[in-house]
Amino acid sequence: MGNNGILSGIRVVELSQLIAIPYATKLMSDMGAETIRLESAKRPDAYRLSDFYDERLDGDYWNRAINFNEQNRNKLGLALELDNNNALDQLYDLISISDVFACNFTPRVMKKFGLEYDNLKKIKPDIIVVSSTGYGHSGPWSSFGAIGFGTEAASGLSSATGYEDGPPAQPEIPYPDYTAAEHTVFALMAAIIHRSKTGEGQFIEVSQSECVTSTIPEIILDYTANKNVTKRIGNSHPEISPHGCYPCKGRDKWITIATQSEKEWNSLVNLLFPEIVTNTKFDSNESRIVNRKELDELISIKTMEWDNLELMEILQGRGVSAGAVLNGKELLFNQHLFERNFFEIVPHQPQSQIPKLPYPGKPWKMSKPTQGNMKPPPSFGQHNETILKNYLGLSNKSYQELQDQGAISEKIDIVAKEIIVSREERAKEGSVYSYDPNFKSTIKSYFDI
Amino acid sequence: MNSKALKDVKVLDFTHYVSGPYCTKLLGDYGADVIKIERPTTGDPCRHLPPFEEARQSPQTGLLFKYLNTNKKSLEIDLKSEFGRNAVEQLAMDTDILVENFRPGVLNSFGLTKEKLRHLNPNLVVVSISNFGQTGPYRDFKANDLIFYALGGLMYIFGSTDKAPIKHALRQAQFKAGTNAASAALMAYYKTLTSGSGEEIDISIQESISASVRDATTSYATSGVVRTRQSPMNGEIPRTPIEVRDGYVVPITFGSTDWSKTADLLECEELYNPKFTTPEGRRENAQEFEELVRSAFRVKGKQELFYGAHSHRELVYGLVQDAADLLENPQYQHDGYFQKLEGNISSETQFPGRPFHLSKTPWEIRTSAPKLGQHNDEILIKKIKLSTEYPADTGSNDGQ
Repeated sequence: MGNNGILSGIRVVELSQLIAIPYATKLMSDMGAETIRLESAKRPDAYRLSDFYDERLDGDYWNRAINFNEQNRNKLGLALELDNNNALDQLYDLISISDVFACNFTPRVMKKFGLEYDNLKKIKPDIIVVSSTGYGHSGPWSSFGAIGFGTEAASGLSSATGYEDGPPAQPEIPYPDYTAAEHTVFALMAAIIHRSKTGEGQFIEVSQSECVTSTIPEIILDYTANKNVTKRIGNSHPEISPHGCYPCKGRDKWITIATQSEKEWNSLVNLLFPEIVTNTKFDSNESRIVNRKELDELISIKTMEWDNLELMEILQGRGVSAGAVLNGKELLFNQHLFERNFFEIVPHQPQSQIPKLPYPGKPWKMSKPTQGNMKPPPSFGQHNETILKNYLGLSNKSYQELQDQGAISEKIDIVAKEIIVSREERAKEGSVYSYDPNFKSTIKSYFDI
Repeated sequence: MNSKALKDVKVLDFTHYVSGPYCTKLLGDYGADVIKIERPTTGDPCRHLPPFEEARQSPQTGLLFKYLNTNKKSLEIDLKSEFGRNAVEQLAMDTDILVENFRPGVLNSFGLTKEKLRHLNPNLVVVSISNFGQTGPYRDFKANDLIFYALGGLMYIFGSTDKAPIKHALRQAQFKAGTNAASAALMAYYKTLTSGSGEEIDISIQESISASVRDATTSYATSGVVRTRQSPMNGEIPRTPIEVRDGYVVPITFGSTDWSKTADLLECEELYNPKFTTPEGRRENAQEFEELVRSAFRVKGKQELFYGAHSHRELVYGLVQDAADLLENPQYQHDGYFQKLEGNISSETQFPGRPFHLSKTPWEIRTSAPKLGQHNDEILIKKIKLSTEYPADTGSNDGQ
């Protein structure tokens, strides 16, 4: 949105959903790129349709959708139905004055609307187009839709992840979407730099599954070189013991400990149970690996007497790698992140009645601060008029025609899915850790907003 | 010869292990010139990490190092010596991007302070990657990937509620930080092309995780809910790997339409029982439902389910693949993804290839990972024109 950041002057148009492209363009918008987020009332982003601020379902609930808002701050919103040819022409016009077109629908969708690179470069010769798909833009799996849980499985990462003797495990987020988005930002920056030096645009293909495979070389190399298939070993480490997650005082409280040297082991054991220092079962890293299970049980008995944050501070003070397992609330209120101003305070559109809130910040800090100055995520169709009339010079009459044809809109005609189980009940049955009805005042006072 | 996106970008690389080397690998693989500074005798400790080629004699350089250090030149030099410091200062004057992942404060201890670097080269982009960043109460905390998952917030929502939280295998946090560092470096470099002033960039590996845990913090900030790990099935098919006859698939369904498609895919008569056709019914009969679903999956093959889901039913199922499956995967073969490299590497060994494809400026391995100090002469004599009598470093024995 042109907040005078490093990337101001770069205009990005995205036809996107969920995370794989929206997170990438969010990182660029945070740095000053002007990002125009396309949406459709007929096929809204699934993130517009679930999980709402304070779980309120009334009115324009889609403007209070928390995952949409998290991924789309600092962007402009344009709601355009591309199956209307006049609307599609407006998109082509918009691309002709843009630098990047980013899409994470399958190649079929890009083809259907004439949004392939070969077509777009006729409209804008130096355009940079990125297609981010689950498995590839061409080839035998390219037509397969995907979400993170699928690409994570395909990438090879899940096969090596999980409790010992258990099935493959995945975290409760679409993890590969982030890995792909992070690589997409790099790819776009490389292409933008190439263009600024040569004037040449290009086409970028991101396979979300292959991005993740590029971050698990150990598995690929050990198999191709030695025919070793990496086994699932939970939190254990093949070369280090102890290395695990141990229970602490309180409900579902844990600490992770990784002793990366003999010195760390000595410090750990001197604090927790000096009596076993001389036990030959544990007198070297090798013997500790052999007797890993027994050792982990002994450590667990001791850690249960401790508060996890207190134990972490004491162990770190003695040079031991240790970290409390932070839940979402503890992460939000973490003192270290607070002092680093990690969370960005983001405003919302006034009519949404959502106050300013802290959201996860950027994964980098530049010396010339770019903190703050956050613009709200767009409400649905919020910038239709600005973009179509001011940027593209559409007349009032043509704009009215598009409206009459239902090709532009400011609302979604889908009834929000009823919430079957209340927050209180979910906390009681354990499908969420907890529900705090006073969250609004807690947030407000902690972040002083 | 292909053109390269980052042609003429000069990188001075003070990194070791994983996060920093992945950052400079990305820069190098898309065309930058990378000079890797390594300490005498041992070099980057990653040289000594597994996996190795077990059929070959030791000592040998680890394969992870060989993956992470393509397209780099190695300069073996002692930063504690005056000679070493002078050499890197000269190099810094002709560098666009400097990347380091020492503990905070260590670069300063070599005399390479922010002020000094800025004085040497006002346009220099300096990227520092560290466990918890260059500031804050955890600045000097020790960590590895396990600790990053715990303090980054990803671990708490990973695993089963009736067990301890877990993390991904291997070194994901460090790869994420390396990727973010490379993007940030290019953003700052891009700015120097127009405004001509460098930046210092602070990358915290913890924050690379915390920035990407979706609504872990946001669900509390917006609705007071603290999310947790995977709870029992409770009447819905979990979006998590489920056992089948010959492996695992991830049955991903959204709502009732998808549920009937799954029942159809599983060809299990009992699943059409009216008590399972509604979400409420499945919830009421959760245990019976779970047993039925698990046994229906267990008799099916993974390929049959995966292709059946995608080809005919528009279900976005996942297929759990291990390395052996990936080598045979038709999409990865189509993309020519896996790569053999030269440089004392068995012809069996294959490396992950391009993470993404740039049509005009493709990914390219121009040189394999260097031996320790392989480019000392080229850099010290030819590039910065020292006399041939630079002090011999302690003997480099990389075992190659």
